[in-house]
Parts: sequence; structure tokens; C-alpha cells
Amino acid sequence: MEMLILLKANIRKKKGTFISIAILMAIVVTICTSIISVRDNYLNGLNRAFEMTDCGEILIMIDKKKLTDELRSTVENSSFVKKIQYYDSIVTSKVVCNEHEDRDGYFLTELRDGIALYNKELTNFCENISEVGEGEIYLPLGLKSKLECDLEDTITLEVAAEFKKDFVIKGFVQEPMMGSSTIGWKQVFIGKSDFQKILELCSLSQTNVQKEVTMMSIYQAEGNTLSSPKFQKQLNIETKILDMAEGEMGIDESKKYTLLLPDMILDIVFAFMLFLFLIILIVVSHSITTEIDIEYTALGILKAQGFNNKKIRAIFLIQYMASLLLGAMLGSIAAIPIQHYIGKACMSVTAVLPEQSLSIGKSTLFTFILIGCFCLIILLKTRKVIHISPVRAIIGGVEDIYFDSRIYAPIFDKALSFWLAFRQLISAKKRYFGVLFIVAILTFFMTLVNLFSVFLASRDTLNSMGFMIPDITFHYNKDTNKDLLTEVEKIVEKHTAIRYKNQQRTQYISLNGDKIYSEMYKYPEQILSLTKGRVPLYDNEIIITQIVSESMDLEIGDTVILSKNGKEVECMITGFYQAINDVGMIIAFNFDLAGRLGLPQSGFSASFIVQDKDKISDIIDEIKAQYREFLKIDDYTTTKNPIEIQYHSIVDVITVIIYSFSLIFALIVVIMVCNKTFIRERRDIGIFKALGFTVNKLRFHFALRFFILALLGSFIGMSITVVIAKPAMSFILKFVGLSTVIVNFTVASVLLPILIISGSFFVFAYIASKNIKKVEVKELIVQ
Amino acid sequence: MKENILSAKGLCKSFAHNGGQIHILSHVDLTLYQGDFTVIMGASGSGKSTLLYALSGMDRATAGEVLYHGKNIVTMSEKELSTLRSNDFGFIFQQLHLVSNLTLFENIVISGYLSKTVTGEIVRSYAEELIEKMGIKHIKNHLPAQVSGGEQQRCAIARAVIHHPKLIFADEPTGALNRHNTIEVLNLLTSINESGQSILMVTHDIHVALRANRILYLEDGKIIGELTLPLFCPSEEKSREKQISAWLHSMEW
Repeated sequence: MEMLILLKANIRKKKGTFISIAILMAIVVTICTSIISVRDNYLNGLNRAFEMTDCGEILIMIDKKKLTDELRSTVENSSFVKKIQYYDSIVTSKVVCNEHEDRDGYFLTELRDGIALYNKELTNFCENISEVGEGEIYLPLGLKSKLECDLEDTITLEVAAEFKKDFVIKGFVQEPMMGSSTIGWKQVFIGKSDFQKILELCSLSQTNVQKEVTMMSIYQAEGNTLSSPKFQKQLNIETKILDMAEGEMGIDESKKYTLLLPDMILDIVFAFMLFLFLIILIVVSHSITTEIDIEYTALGILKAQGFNNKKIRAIFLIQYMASLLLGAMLGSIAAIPIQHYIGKACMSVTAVLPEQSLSIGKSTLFTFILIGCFCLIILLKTRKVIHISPVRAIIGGVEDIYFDSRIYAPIFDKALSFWLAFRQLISAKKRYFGVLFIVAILTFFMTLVNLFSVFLASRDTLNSMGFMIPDITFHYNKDTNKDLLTEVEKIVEKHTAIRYKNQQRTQYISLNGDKIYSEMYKYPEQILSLTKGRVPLYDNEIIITQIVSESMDLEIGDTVILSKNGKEVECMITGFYQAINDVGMIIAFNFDLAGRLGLPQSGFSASFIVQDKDKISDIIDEIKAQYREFLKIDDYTTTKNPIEIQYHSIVDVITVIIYSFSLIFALIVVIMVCNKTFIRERRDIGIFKALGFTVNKLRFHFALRFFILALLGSFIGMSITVVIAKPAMSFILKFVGLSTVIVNFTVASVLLPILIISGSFFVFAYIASKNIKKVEVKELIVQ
Repeated sequence: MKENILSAKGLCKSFAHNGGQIHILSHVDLTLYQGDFTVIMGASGSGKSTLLYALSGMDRATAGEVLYHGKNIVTMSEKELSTLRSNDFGFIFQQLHLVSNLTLFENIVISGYLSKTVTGEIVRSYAEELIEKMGIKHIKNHLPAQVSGGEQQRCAIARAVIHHPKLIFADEPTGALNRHNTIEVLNLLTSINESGQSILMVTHDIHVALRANRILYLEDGKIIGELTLPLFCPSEEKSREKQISAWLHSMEW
């Protein structure tokens, strides 16, 4: 009963502190619970989607002509295969919709069972999916954001650069294997009559460009539980089907690519939240220490009245736990709409309908782990109670002596406010260590996110990191037997010096039996992102990424077998480079080796970085005049590359999250610390007022102290960033396939967080110091 | 003719209590003169400290006016009061009240810096002079918590005079000190008064009141008596004590 009375009194008296802690806890629990739930919901949603569409473990796209009866029979009879479903499809060479052009292959197929249609609000599926009429098309949801299209919009599909046909978008469907906006290939669904018409047009084609593709959905034999990459490898070793195929996608890869971007953002935010949790731990710890100092006398009196250490510590534990549990409860409730919102926001990328439930088990466990940490900290910090002596407490406690510094900071008449603020800080520096640490954490994250922006802003950096964004790129728009790209090169050279040039094509091939994405270069010596060794100059040399090296245990000097189209070539690894396609699972070699693998020795496209950017418009004009019909030109000096746009939006989202939560936390921390400081220094404030200091001057001192503190903390945070920015960024960028990162510190990227955090600390502290107005000089009077 | 330094007219101070009002000061009229060492005496609860703080602007009177150089302190803004405190008034409290994280020297100079009437160099030089005079030179770099109550109070006196105030308000400055420290502090106050400094002090101790040349007696919030004395001379302490005792007796002390 006596504890209950004290608890009620304490909570009433310190409601500001408890409300602040509850808010901080609620924020962390809301976001973490939402992230845990969204990830579970998407994984469950994807699994459900794969079940609904009833697709096999791997989907292989193979040129219809290459799928001989013999090959078909070999695959069907493989011990690894349970069954195969075949779908005829026609592959597009280009798709245009709402001024967006997409050259990734779209596989036109007839609508089949298992494909679910989203309702207009994209909140659920329609009960039935109606037949596709003539001129109508169903698109996977990932294209809605990729092509920025909507229902009733017209999409133009071009086959073999010869036949174009317009379709009206009838609806968006769930196609889990390649539906995500992060996957280039797409399955799109048209009606039977349209399909037949296009097939007929294909049969009239004059070119040899691939048009008809058979999609093989292959189910793993019962009893086999191989992951989809292992299944692909074993199947390829046994049947060579992947060597013949144009491409393939396994369920595991599909899930990885589908969730790649949401996972990356959510993981970064989750890590940030864990640091915010650390901040709450510091806040609680600081609050307890201060409370024991301020309440020293009261606690001593309680002891004198018969309260033992256990009871007093239990009161501390219960009051803070009540606040934390309240925060956790509110956070869990708030997570219900938040996870729903995040889930919906991610749908434009994943193209899969997530489940909409809270992962109660995992979230509760996570919350209890957080609360367990708090318990530990509270018990550790309240050990101080044991040392409270009732006698010492009654004769005045330790309140007066709070000077804990050996550092002497003088007071000067010039800039008196600064020196006073600095002295107040130095005098009780132990009390501010926690705040210093908090500021350092916030600054670290703010600077880190700025460094990502700087990184994305510099094309030279992006290019040397493997993002490869040239000034200008020429793609074939129409099939031709002429080597126009070499002609283009001559025209560019005529106008300005070329800093970088390349002709390139890409293709999935096999490396030691494993499927791997490969880049083939006409000028391999121009590869900018080489990190180790040398470029592949000969027809038996390749370079690989660090990620391929790690996952396949390969090093420079090792030999590997590349295979494609039934041809095998033994090659040596001559170096490491970086590229972001297929999340870094990529290799590169020259056109000569491509020829040995039976692949064309010509590029899809030619890219240039030129010396004089002003000449680009002249170059474009000349090339348009000569080759308008055959070539499409992307001028990235005037427009942004889709990769840049995508990564800029990711960094923007993370920036908003980190900056806004940093400011919220800064506000709450400053208010809490200021209030405690104000209680401790109330008498000093009265003395200063009696000496003639105005309220504004005192508030300015108070705010200035926190400004200096924030400035020091942010310099520490910045120093931490300088030391660990590179490994931290490398860790994060491994998500997109980069292992070596170039970090460019700019004045703005470093100064901005320092200014924002220090400025906000000053403003928040000034606001929080409004209580100084309430201190009256007469409080010093003893009557 | 002594120069009028501060005057109060019809000064009242009341507090609301249990739905009614308690009148602590009731229509007090008072004038303080340049160079006087004025002491306010009275029984506990008579309103001595309340009067001191109402006169100094530390507390606002409920009614009446306190005129300082023709300006009414009662109606002054917080900013004007701050200027007054930093330039014209000095305070010595019973409970010492030094800023705990500043050294004794810094506690003194900060008041001087704040007044901004002279340069920092002059403030420091005068502070050195004062601490020498107060006998706390050897501990000038100590923190308040590291020195005795008497030493703290001597520091507080130096702080009160560093900016050359027109008037020092002292609220039972020896109330928290032992006998030895009390005498030291009183000697200091007497000494600065002899140099022309006006002092208004509240006390209930007759030995402290001996130092004054003017004693006001307060009862139930009203000044009911006034005793004017010649300047303090240690050799006449006994006779002065008798005179004041007799007077206090007549006031029913």
C-alpha cells in the first residue's frame, strides 16, 4: 500500500518524464513492430502468391526453336523433375507506355489459371478474372509504377522491332515470379485471338530475331528439397537446359529480387531504430541517475522511515516499467495502421499483395527483449540507492556539490554568456555524457545518409563503383545488319574527345554449372569499376565481382568453365570489378569470348562519356539525322538515368525518416534533460536573477550550453562517420551488389547534420527553458 | 541634509489565505538616505524580510510605490528590474547563495562583468582588492562548497559591492553564521558603510543592529518606531547596546 502511494505520487510529479519515455518507446516499438510485420506479411504474401499461381520452382524461357523434342524429353525425364508446364509466349523487343520505353523482354502469353486480378483500390483480389478481350491486356502490378500507367491506358508492344500493337490495360494482376518492378522481365497476359494474330505476324518476319519463346515452369521432384539455385544447377548439369535457355528465374531468386528494395530500406530503418532504442536506454539511465541525485534527501528520509533498498528500487523499476509498457502498448497499437501503410507503399515495388496482420509473436518477443534491457539498466542504475545514507540525506545530501570536473574553464567578461554556458557544461560533464553520445548517434546517421546523397550525385563516383551512368547511350531501335554503333562512335569522336566508350551486351550463361549474368564488352580495357587485377583482354579471360568471388569461392588466377548454347570454354579469372546487375552476381568478358560461346560479337548498345558535354546536342542531331530509324538515344546529361531515379528515391525516403526521427528524438531528449537540469539549477538561476541577469539572458545561457553540447557531440558523430562510413556504406550497398565503396566527404554533407542538430538543440533547449520565467528571486529568501 | 536614495509610500503586501487575505505590510511609508546603515528589526512574522524584498524589487508590493530616482520599482518590468539589480543594488542573503560551480573569485567578478559600467580589467582588479580586504585571497579559487559559511558570506559581500551599488540589501546576513564569522562579517559591513556605502539590513539580533546608525522597528507590517544613532564606534558598544535595548523594550520587543 505504501508503495502504491509513493508510486502514484512519483508518477504524478514526474509525469513529463514518463510521458516522454513512453513516447520514445512507442516510436521505436511502432516502427520495429511494423517492419517485422511488413517483412513477414510480404514473405507470407509471396508464398501465398506462388501457391495461388501454382508455378514450379524454376521458370525457364527458351527459344522455341532450341527446345528440341530430345531436350524436352531429357528434361522431363530428369530425376530432379516432377512435372513441367509449358506456355507459349512471344517476347517483345520494346514496350512504350506514357512516354516510358522499356527494352527489357516482356513475355506475351495467354491468360491462364492461377493469375489473380487486383481490385481497383489494389486492396484485394477480384473474385474472378474476366477473359481478356481483343486489344486488351493484363499487366503485372510492378509495371504500374515502372511505366507510370493506369487502367485504360494504352501500351504499345513491339516485337522484333517489326510489329507494333497497341493494347488497352484492362487490369493489374499478381504474377509473383517476375512481377516486381525490380525485375526486368515481365509476363503480360493477352487474349487468345491477339496472341494468334501476333504469332502469324511473327511467321512473316524477315529477321532472325528471336520472337517465340517457350516458358517452362519446372516442378521439383517430390522428396527433393533443393533450393532453386541448386535445383537449377543440378538440372543444368544433367540436361544442359539452362545453357540453351534465354533466361530463367527460380522462386528463391524471385523472392530475393522482389523484396530487395523494401528489405534494404526497412533494414536501414530498423538498424536506425535499434540505435534510437539505445538512445532511450541512455535517457532512462540519465533520468534515474538525476532523479536519485535530486531526490537524495527524500530517499534518505524514506530509508529513515523504514523503506529498504529493495522497496525503493522496486518503486523505480515499476514506475519506469509502467511508462515503457504503456509506450510499448501504444506502439503496438499504432503499428497496426503503420504496417498497413508501409505494406501498401511497398506494393508498387513488390507487386504482391501482402498479408495485413501484426506478427504478434515475433513483435512481442522483440518488445520483451527491449523491455528486458531496460530492466537490466534500471536495476544497474538504481544500485546507487543502496549508498544513500539517511543521516547524510537529512543534513543536506549531496545536492550542493555537483562540480565534477578537474578541467578549469575560465570566465571572461567578453562573451560572458558563452563562457558561463561552457562552465556549466564542464562543471557537470558526467551528466552530459549520455546526451553527447545521443547527439553523436544522430549525427552519424544524418551524415551517413548525406554521404549516400553525395555518392548518388557524383556520376564519376557511380561509374567507378559500377553503376555505370554514361553521358549518352545509343540502342538499336530496329534490327539491322549494319554495325551502326561503330559508325556512331566515329561521329562522336569527330565532335569531341571520348573519355569512355563501350559497346555491350548481356546474357545469362553458366559458370561451373551455375547460372550467372554476364556482361560482354567490345572494349574491356574501358571498364571503369575494376577493383583488383586486370581487365579481360583475351578470349579465355573473365573478371568477376567480389560477391561472385565470395559466393562461389573463386579468386584471381582460378579457372572456371563457362558454357552456353552447348559450347564450353575454360577461362581464367584476371580481376575483380563491380556492377549492380543481379545484385552483384555478375561477370564480364570481351566479345571474342562471347564468340567462342556462340553468342553475337556485337553490342546491344554503345555508351560514351565525352570530354565536351556541350557537343552532345550536336552529336545527337547528327546521329538523329542519319540513323533516326534505327537508333534510340538516351541523353543522360539532360535526364536522369532510371537507376539514379530509383536510388535517389530510396535515399530520399531514408533521409526523411532519419532526419525526422532524429529531430523528434532530439526534441524529447532536450526537453527531458533540460527539465532535470532546470530542477537541479533552480537555485543558481534564482541567484543569477538576483545578480541582474534577465530571463532572456538566462534562457540564452541555457540554450547555449546545449548548443555547445550538441556541437561537441556532432563533431564526435562526424568523427565516427569518418572512421566507419566506408565499412557501413559497404555493408548497406552489399544489398545492391557493391562491396567496395568510394566515400566522398563534402563540406555540405558533413556540416548540414552538425548545423541541424546543433541548431535544433539550441532552439529546443531555448523552448524548454521557458520555466526560467517562473523562477522568482524571492525563492532565495528564507522566512 | 542627507540625500534621499529610496522612498516608499503606502507600501502594502498581502497574501491570499484560506479564502481571506493576510496583510504582511500595511501602508508603510519610508525613506532611505545616502550613506546610512539602516536596520529593520521586529519580531518574527512582523514583515521585515517582506519589506526588504518589496523595497528592493525582488518581490512585488500589492499596493503603494517604491521610488528610486523618481521611478516606481513596483511597476518596473522584469528587464528594468534586472538592470537595477545589476547596476544599482547589491544583495546579501542569509543562506549565502553563491553559484556553486563558480569559484569565489568568479562569483564576485561575474556581478561586475554584468553591470558593464567598467572594463573587465577594472572589475578583476577591484575584485582582487575586495578579496584581499575580505580576507579570502588564499581561497579565491575554491568553490563555495569547499570553504566555510563565513568565508562564503564574505565572498557574498564582495559580490554585493563589486559593481559599486547605490544600495545594499542584506537579509539577516549573519543568520547562518557562528559568532566568530558573524563579527567578521559585521566588521566588513561596517567598514564598507564607513566608505559611504548605503546599507539596508534586516535582523532580529541586537548585536548586529548595533552597527546601524538608524533602526526601524516593524510590527504587524507597520513601522512603529525609529531610532537614530551616531556612527558605530567599538569603544561605545556597551552603552549603544543599552540604548538600543531600552528603545526596543519601549517598542515591546
